[in-house]
Parts: sequence; C-alpha cells; structure tokens
Amino acid sequence: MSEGTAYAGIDVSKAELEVAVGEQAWRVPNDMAGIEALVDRLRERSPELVVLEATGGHETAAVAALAEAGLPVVVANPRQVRDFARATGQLAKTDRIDARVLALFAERVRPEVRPLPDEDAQALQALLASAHGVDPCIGKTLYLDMTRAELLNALQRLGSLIPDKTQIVIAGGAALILGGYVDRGTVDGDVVYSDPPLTQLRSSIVQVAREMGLSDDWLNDGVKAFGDVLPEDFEQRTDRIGSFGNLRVLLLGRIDLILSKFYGGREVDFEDLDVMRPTDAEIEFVLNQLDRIARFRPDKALKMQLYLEQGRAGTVDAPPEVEEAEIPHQRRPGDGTNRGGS
Amino acid sequence: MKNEQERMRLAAEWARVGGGFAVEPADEPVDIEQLVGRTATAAPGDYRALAVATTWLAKYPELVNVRRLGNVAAELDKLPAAILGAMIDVAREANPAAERLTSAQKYCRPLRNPRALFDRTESNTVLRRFAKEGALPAFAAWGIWQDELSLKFDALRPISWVLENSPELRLRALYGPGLEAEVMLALDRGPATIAALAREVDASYSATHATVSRLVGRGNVVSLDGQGVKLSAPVRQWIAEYPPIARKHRANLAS
Repeated sequence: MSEGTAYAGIDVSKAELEVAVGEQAWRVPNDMAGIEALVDRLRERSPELVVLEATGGHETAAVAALAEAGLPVVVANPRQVRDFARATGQLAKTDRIDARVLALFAERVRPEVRPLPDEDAQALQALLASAHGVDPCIGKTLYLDMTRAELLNALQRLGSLIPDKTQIVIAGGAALILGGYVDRGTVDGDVVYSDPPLTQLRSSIVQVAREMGLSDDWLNDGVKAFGDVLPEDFEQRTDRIGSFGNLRVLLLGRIDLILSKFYGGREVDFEDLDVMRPTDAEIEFVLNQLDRIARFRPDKALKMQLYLEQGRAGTVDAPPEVEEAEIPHQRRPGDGTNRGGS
Repeated sequence: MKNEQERMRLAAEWARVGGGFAVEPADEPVDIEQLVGRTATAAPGDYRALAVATTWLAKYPELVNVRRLGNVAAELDKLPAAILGAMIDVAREANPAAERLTSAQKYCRPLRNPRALFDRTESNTVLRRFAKEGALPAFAAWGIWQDELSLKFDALRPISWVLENSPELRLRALYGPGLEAEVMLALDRGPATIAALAREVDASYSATHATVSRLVGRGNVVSLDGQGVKLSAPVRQWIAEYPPIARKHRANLAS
C-alpha cells in the first residue's frame, strides 16, 4: 500500500460492521448510529476505496450512507472476494480477517466505483429523508428525464460548487432542450468540450446528482469523441446559455447541432431534425462537411450524403421495389426543396 | 407520429409504471400487457416508447403475465406482432430472466415481406437500404430491419417506486404474474363469484376455480358461503400498506 493511501474493507453482518483500514480495525453496530460513526471515522481517513461484500441487503444502509458522504464505495461480489482470498492464501475466516481481506481486495483489485444499484439508491433516499426530514417521494428519484428547468437548476447548482472558472459546450438532446428547439426531457447532458476537462468537475457533478436525485452521469463527456465530427471553428458558433457562478455554459450552434443529428442518423435524430427543419443553407453546410467526415467514418459520410442528396432530388418516398434501387455514387444537383429531415 | 395523442398517452402510462418520461404519470391503472401491445403498434413512429417498453420488459419480466401477453400478441396485426417478437428477443438478450416471456412469442410471426422498423426509414430509399444492411439479428429474425435499439435502464425507476405508484402491479409482485394475482386483483375491486371472476380474468371456469381453491386454502381468499369469495383481511391490509402517492408529489415528479 502506498504511503498515505488507505483502502477500507467492511465485513457486514446483520448486527455489526467489522472495519479494517490499514493496520486499524474496529467494529460498529449495523444501525443508524453505528453507520454514522463509521462514516465520520472513514471520512477522517479519506480512503481511496471502501469495499463491502453483498450480504443479502444488510449492507444497503451502510453503502447508501457512505455514498451519500461522498466516499468511493463498491459492493463486491462475494465469490470474487472468496477467489481473491484463496489466491492470496487467506483461508482462515473470522469477521476481522474478512474485513482485512476486503481491504486488500480493494487495494489490489481496485474494483470500479459505479452508480448505486436501485435498492441502494432507495436506501439512500430513505436515509436522506430521515436525516433531513424530507419525504423521499418529493422530488425526483434517480435516473429520469430532466426537463429544461431541471437541467438549468442542476447547472446552476454545479456552478455554485466549482472553485475555478470553467466553460462547457453542451451537445445532443440537452442542447436541443436548453436551446428551446425541442420540448422533451433528457436523461443526461452531453458535454462535447470542457475547459478544464470535465473529470476535474467530477466530484461536484456527483454532489449535484446526490442533492437533486439525478444520475451520477447527469453531465458527462461520453460524446467527447464526437468532437471530431465538428468543424474546427464550431466554438465560434456556440450559443451562450448563461454563466452560473464559475460555470459558463454554451450550446453547440444550431448548424452544428444539425450536423450532429445527421451524423447520428438514428430515428430519434431524425425526429429532432423534423422539429428543427434545416434550411437549404444548413443542408449545404452539412454536405460540405462530408469529405472531412469520410476520412474517419466513411460509412457515416456515405449514408449522410445519400440521404441528403436523395432528399434534394425529391425522391424521399421509396417505391415498393426499393430493394432493387441502385444507390447513386455521384452527387446530383438538387432542386433545394427538401429539408432533408424526412 | 400519426397520433400525437396516443404518443402522449403511451408516455403517461409508461411513466406510471416507472418509465422516465418527463410527463405526468397516468391516473388510471395500467394494463401492462395491453400497454406493451399498444407500444408495439405505435413503435414504427415512436422510438422512445419502443425503447422504454423493451427496457421495461428486460428489467421487470417477473411482473409480466405471459399468458395475457400472448393473448395480446394474438390480437395484434402482423407488423406489431413481429415487433413484439423482436422486443422480447432484445429483452431476453439483455436479461436472461426475460426468457420467460418467450412463450408469448408463439403468437408472433416473422413478416413474410421484411420491412424497416420505422415508417420514416421504410419510406426512404437510403435509410431503408442502410437499415437492411445493418439489421440487428434480433430484429432481422422477425423480418424487421433495424440497426440499433438502445435500452435505457437508467431511464426506468426502481421497483420500489413502480410498486408504490402502480398498485395494479403489487399483487403480481407478491403472488407472481399468473392467474392468482389476476384473481386477487379482480377481488380487490370487490367480492365475486367464480364464474364472474373467470369472465373478468379471461380464464376458464375450471382454471379459475382451481386458483381460487388454492388461494382459499392459503387463507388469501375467504369463501362467502356460496355467495362467492372475497380477499382475506390480511391481504387487504397488505395492499393498503402502500400509501397512494399524493397528487402534489406526482406533479412535482413530473414538473
């Protein structure tokens, strides 16, 4: 174990929690008071990782409380831990030894910290309710569509938490919603550009999630790779949503959103394009990007080209014998009447 | 979407059973098997409902009455029946527990003349061609061309929320999604004779009688001396233990 880095293992039983962190070991009752004491003590150690074993639900309240406290907690598969214990020659079995094995498991295996499973999320809500006197039914539970107002609230709260000036550019459905293009919800906000990188905001994002009952990934950079699809000058076309504390929020410009939707090419993307109704000039803009896109996604570029040029040629409705129709290989001059959305 | 009203109704009903649509959940109890069937019917024009419904089948297969789902499938037109077949296969791929739904597929037939899943794709030469070339096996097996369907497990509420807000599913959670739960649900609306119950749950008299006998034997249902049967007090109490969610909370949830 590297100096200063602590890994905690907790052996869970119905009545007690046996804790091991480095050379220290102690025991607390598995009830609210005991769990609170556990959280306080672990916070002092700031462990890199806390690992518990799944034990038929007796771990749920502790997991929820540790997660609520912002501690990196993982519920490990008992079989995986047993195999690990065997592999390390640890065959004796007491609660204290089990806790040490779990701590060692945390250090050596470093299982990934993931969002809480549903049951734990429920326990977390119940804990929050009891701790703060809030009915857990009030407000949103985890993992739901966010409306425009909720997105703005979450961004505002995030801005109040982050210490440094930060700028993000939002893409995808969240951008369409924030930009007022579509009236629907979204599970998450896709950040296509962030300065500094979004990973540096991670703890604040998670804090907002816990406070507002959102998924931990309510703001993520899962579409970061999509940045390649955008022209280099996309930042010049962004729309400013607002500044919230240290957080400046921009949206992809309309024309780049349209490009991203054509690139996505899924049914939901076309639904959004129906609402956005691209103009001829915007379609032309997208067509002008195809050579560049073809360098890294020729399949996407071909689909986009064929789709757009078909629309411009006025052949949107397919005849029944469409399967035999030939796919054109040359751009055809369009009449400019079709918007490419359907 | 040809029918925006139906689209909104589907969203509201899915929201009631835990679908993460940002709409007010439906007030009325949801018939989950009918809802799945209606979603399969609307699917060619409603990607989101299809994604939520398929995810729901994958996440909560134990709350689906397979016999009723089969009956729904038998009533569907060819395209929605094939779509339902594909939905079950996709759910099964995502969660082996959804294997139990496959017996409802016996009423689903692959399309003789394959087509794209979505109307938009079907009516567009290029999209149709790409959908055909990239068709997922789970869809292609049903004569449907579709190259992607993202299940959204993070857009479904947890089971505790579903049961709190959908009393119609609580008995299934307790008794399993079979005839017993259907009989109990019918009796939750008031005492009934076996014949009336059989009509209500759309089962044979003998099957209903056998089910009621089992429930009486376990003390879940009590006989009314030749005047039919009713739920026993403990079961009524258990059902009542879930407090109905207050309207203001629901408004909050959907706002």
